[in-house]
Amino acid sequence: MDSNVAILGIETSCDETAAAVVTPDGKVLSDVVHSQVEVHARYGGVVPELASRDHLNNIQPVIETALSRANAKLADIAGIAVTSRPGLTGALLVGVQAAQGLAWATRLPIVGVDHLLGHLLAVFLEHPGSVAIDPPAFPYVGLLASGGHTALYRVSGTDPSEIEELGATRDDAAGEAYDKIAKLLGLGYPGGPVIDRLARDGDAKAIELTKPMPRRDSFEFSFSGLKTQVARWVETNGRPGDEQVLRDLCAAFQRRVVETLVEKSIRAARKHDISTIVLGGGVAANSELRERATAEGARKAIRVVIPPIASCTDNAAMIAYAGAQRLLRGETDWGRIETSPRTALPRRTRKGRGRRPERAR
Amino acid sequence: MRVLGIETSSPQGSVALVEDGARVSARTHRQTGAHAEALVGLLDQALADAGWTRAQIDRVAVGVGPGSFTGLRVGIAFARGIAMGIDVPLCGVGSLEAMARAVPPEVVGQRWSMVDARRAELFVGAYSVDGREILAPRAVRTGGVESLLPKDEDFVVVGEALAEAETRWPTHRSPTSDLPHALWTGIAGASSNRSADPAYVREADAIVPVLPPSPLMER
Repeated sequence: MDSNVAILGIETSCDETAAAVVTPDGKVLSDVVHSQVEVHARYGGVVPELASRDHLNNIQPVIETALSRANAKLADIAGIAVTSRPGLTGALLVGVQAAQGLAWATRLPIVGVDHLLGHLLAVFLEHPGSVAIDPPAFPYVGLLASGGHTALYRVSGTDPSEIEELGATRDDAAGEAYDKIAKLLGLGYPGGPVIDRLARDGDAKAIELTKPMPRRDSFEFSFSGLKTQVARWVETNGRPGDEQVLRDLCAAFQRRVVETLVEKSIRAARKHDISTIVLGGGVAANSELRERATAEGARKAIRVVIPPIASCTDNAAMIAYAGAQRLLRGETDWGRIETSPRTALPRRTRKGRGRRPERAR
Repeated sequence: MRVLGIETSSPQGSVALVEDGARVSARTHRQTGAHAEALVGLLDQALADAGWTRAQIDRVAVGVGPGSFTGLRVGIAFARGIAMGIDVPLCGVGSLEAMARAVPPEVVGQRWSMVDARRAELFVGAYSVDGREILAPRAVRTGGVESLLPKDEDFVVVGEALAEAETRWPTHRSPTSDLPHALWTGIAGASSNRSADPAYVREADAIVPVLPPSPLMER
């Protein structure tokens, strides 16, 4: 397979039905995302069965729209890449089965892609009309922060074997903490955009929340304690109305999340002698995170690369790109794509309660 | 007309190739929760058995349930991919209807198809000898089936679901009617104009939580 071809990417791991057509060097020819936010909003979070049902309703039109926007027919496609893990099993299956059906019918090569790898490589996507990013050199530190995952990686190449987890969250993902705080405060689902907007008018110093997982030598995260602090504050002071204290509370919470993400990313880069940090995942759409990461990076002489928001939130273009690297090598997972709720990337941090043995790094 | 049938609504998964209403090849597996892994292999075997190429398939028919929610989606998503890939029409066939079709015409009486719906319920649908729907598919408490059955008409219970537990009623059993089978999905699919949308019958069981009111005033 030569590099002057188009790859079809399909993504249904959580609450976005997405398909995209991308060249193996990252040119995005089309990028279609159908969001299910409205389906799940009144439940305050993603309901797996409803997500699966909605994916099935939309998978075919989304794929067809991706092809037509790219001005492509299936005959123009050289390979298919589909998210096979991690995610909601019933949701993943819809995309994987549609992709496997397409691949069986067309005899196109198909590969299963780890969603987290997609996020970590999304920086290489070139969206038409958006400002071109000078692609980062390997290795870089990848900060992946979303509703389902929060972790730091050393990214040394595009193959899963070249990704090393430096530390991850022990409990909630950063985006999950946003959603839970928003639910607590009555701000609806998802929590990220609304808290970000309110925090902009708040004073982060007006309410004291302690820093989560402050140990300087650890690249692990924990956000559930911060969430509990906000819950305690609400128990004591009552749920704020549409007033300044609501904005202050959002600002205090967001400041703690953002500074933790930024400080640990920079410390990880310094410790591993890496000069570039790349952000990814839905939380990378957060305005304060984008600003502070850029400013701190500049202060510490570390290049911080922040992809456009369309590359940060869930999309199929990143899946097509990540899968293309394997397809280019002639690999295929024909007829043996298995779904899993867990990532295939090696993990270092154990989730859940309990003491951890001290580890030399 | 050459039809590819796919059925994955029950623990049994099957594919069949049907030409002009007759079986050409069929493959079946029964491994719980393994439809997604099994389908491509079954299809390759069935195609090889038939000696067809993909391009010879004129139409795809898929079982739309009721049945396992995930099982239905695995088959329907796969069928949509295939129909898109070879660019042929796709249609849906009711899974209980496919079971009723499996009963030979010499058997008299209404066909009452039943499959296990878990939670002490059955999915039940009834069809006339000529395939007309008498009772639309629904979930019924196992103990509540009797009250639905006809009092003064011949009928036959189709499927394995009640075969062990219930001996009072005439029962039809065969390898392609114990559970929905793609052979009959394919045969019925030749003339079905039903869309390939799942007939879940049951709601998703999502409970709307009591969420705090929004503090934000409409602006």
